[in-house]
Amino acid sequence: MTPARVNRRDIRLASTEEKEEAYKLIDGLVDLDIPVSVKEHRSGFPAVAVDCGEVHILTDILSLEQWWAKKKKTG
Amino acid sequence: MSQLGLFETEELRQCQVEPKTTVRLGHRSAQVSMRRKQREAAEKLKAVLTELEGRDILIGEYNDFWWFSGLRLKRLKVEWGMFDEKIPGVIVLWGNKDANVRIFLDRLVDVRTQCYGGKPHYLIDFWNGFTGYPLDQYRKPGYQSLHIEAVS
Repeated sequence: MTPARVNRRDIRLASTEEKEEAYKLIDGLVDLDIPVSVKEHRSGFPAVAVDCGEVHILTDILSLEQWWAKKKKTG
Repeated sequence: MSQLGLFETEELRQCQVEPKTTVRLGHRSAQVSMRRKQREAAEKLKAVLTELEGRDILIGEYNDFWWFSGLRLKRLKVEWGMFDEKIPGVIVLWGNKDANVRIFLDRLVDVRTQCYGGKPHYLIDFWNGFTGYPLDQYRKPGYQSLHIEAVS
């Protein structure tokens, strides 16, 4: 079976607020038990592809880690 | 067998069949459960890194184009994935002064322990198919291994 192709929204150059909004959306979907995958993109570091349900984004791992650390601190 | 309810998600998940990966070599191909291998290796890796957390480690890797050896991460802290994934896509090993090593686990296949001079050395193995038939065409085929040892 040929894997389905998806168009990922590239938010690598988006503002921090826009990125955080996307991460919060994915986090909300994860809370609803929707599986998520974070994979290194073929373009290499720091690009990562994040897929969760109908949300497919291309972002950078550094901003994702920063958001995750902030989220863990604030709870 | 009783019918599963719509909201018994945990049981439904257990019934789901994991997709297998097609591994090719020449004209032959086989369906291999890479996901299961990855899950088992990730569990081993988690146990190893939990044991190493707080200690100083040396990390090394050999590649055709570059290599590093004995890279020291002091007082190891492990960031085990984001979004609380069951099998994390990436883990970050933090040392002091913001030194860090990121490990992407999508081609993880095994974690081995070998003892030299009474000291355990951990080998984290990644596999991307056979030469000429990579699973991911954008990465180097074959095996790669990351080497970790504790120094304190």
